[in-house]
Amino acid sequence: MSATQLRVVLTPEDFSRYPFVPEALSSLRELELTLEDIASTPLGNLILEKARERLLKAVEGEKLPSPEEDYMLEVAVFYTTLLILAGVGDDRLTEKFSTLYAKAVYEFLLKDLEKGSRDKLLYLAVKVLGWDVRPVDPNVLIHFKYFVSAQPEFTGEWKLTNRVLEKGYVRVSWRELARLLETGVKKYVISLVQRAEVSGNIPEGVYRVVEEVSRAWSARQQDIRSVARDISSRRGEEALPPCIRELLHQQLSGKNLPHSARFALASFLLNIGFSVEETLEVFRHSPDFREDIARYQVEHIAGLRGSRVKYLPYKCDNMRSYGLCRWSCEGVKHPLQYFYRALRGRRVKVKELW
Amino acid sequence: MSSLALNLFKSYYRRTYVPPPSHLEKREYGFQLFGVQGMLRHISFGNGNELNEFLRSRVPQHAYYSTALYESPSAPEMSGKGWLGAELVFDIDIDHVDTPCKELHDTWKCKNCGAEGRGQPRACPVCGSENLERKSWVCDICINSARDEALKLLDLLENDFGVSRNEVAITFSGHRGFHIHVQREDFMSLDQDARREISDYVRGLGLEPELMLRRSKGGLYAFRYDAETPGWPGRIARYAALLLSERIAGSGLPELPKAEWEDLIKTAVNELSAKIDEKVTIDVHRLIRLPGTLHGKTGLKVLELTASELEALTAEDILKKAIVFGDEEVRVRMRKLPSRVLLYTIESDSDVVNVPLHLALYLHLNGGAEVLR
Repeated sequence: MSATQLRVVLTPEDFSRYPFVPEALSSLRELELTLEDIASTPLGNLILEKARERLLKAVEGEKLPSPEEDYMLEVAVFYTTLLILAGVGDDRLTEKFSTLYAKAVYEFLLKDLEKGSRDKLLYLAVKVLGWDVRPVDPNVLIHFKYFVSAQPEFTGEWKLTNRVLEKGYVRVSWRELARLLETGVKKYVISLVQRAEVSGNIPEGVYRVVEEVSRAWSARQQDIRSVARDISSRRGEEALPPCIRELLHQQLSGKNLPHSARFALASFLLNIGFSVEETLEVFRHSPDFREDIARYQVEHIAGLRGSRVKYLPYKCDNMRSYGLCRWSCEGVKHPLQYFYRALRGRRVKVKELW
Repeated sequence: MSSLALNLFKSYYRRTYVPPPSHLEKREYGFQLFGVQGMLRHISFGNGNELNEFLRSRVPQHAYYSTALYESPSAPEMSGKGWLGAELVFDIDIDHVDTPCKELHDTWKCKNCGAEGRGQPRACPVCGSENLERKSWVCDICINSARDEALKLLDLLENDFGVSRNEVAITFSGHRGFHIHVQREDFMSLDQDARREISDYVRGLGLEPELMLRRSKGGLYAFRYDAETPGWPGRIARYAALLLSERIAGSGLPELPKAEWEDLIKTAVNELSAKIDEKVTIDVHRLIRLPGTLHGKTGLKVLELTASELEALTAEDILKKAIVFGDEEVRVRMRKLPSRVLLYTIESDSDVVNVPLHLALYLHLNGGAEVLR
């Protein structure tokens, strides 16, 4: 569907839920609010305080506050948050904020779907993200290049191999489109931060918030580093195969890992003797960590729930096809095999495949 | 003969203008020169004449160019090149396919126990070691199998990915396979994750039979899709209809026990997937053979073909087009001569044979044959 064919009327409520759409930004221009104002007027201070609050939540990995009902205020808070993120200039914090932010957007998209407002989803896909998406009752067709850039998993029902793909288009349900949009919005918000430019000097008041968020973030990183140190001192990180080492590093740096990656990492740690609590500690740094869900899943993998089977990590072939491994370890067919060999003091030859 | 190989390559580049690839100036080039270890990398050219001047004066044994485009292709570090995008490329290499001819021309020697033999065993049949020294050769039978894989890939690209046949550039690599370059500007920016999904799709990797089955009465399972369905489900349904034709009563596919379906789906995927080397597709900084140059192991031309040429030409035609040197007779000596190579059957108990010049060059480059003329 081309952008010109699509006419959607956006309400103030939409601007408040989706403040990143270009139309919302133009409403901010009408406000004629400058960065100087943000630092020096009462309205500006309110905006700054709300942006600060959101970023500190993101640092802690907690759910972000609901958007402001006044859409003008929301849009101003949203863009101020992005400017501060650009000022902090840490890709991992930007990723973390964007992940949390996009999760909230996903919830709103589901509500729109319940109300039957499919056009909102189409609007975001086509007009904001520039995707080639065509509604074909009762489903949606999306061009595969946008599908593969936004699919949340590389296994099971999300795997392209398991989809109906015709002449370049993947058939998805509306709910699945909402989930794809979550990734799309996350990447879009990251790109907005990367493109954000401040002309002139950052006013003192705004700069103070940039500093505060930076400090809170690096303190948080210290905690994460201590967990990593703990793992290395207890087991020796060299004993970990390169795939697990990479997943662990990504996890500890706050990257949002797909489900298959989390399963691989959790099952590995549990199998080399980590307790459920220790394993949970590693996952506490996910942008979307929820203690209740994570505990349930880790306990399940540990064999304390459900089928009472303690799960083994994927074997190497599967790690590679899930995109979790890009190495070849000589004579090793299973990540645990690498670990046990390394513990016995045997060096394993590792070759990077791509 | 090395000087003869060099002289033959020199004569080829003197009489040939290698057509410059698209976006010539944004690509990195790499070359391996005769008798020199290692590769010259990070080379760039401003136009087709510069490229051809280089080929004429340096006479490389192997010539490669990047599938990626860069702002500064000659920057020595990847981080300084400024990646702008990369073509979506597929490499079909017969090494990934079992062909009957491997017994006729490939040889191995076990580095562990010293045993030797013909074919491409995974491990030494005597001692079980995987540490084998292998020598492989290419013949028309190999090219035919590679061509079948390339045609399957073209079908997947066209029907599933919507890439029409005039949007692909096909190259015979000059050795054991084909390279398929998708010429779509809008695919240039695909990242590695995306390329892996595409690569897995054409290989049928990660396909879960369970997702295609529906539980039915009596513990049997039905295939959820029919032959009209696009993509893998329809492809598998059509294959199943063929295999099960005797058991089909009425319109649809029969209901079967789950294990039987799973076996059938696995067989279908194995038969219908394209055997590509996934590393080439996933790598967004890859160097690949430059069309129009010579392959340094065979002396064959890296040959550009259109999709309809690939369909219409036989393996023999393709090899004939790729042979650029004459057929004057040359006497060579070599141990363990392959019995089938290029278009020729060599039936000789002796280590010394008379062969056409282009075959002598191949035997020399790939097998160290000594020229006795």
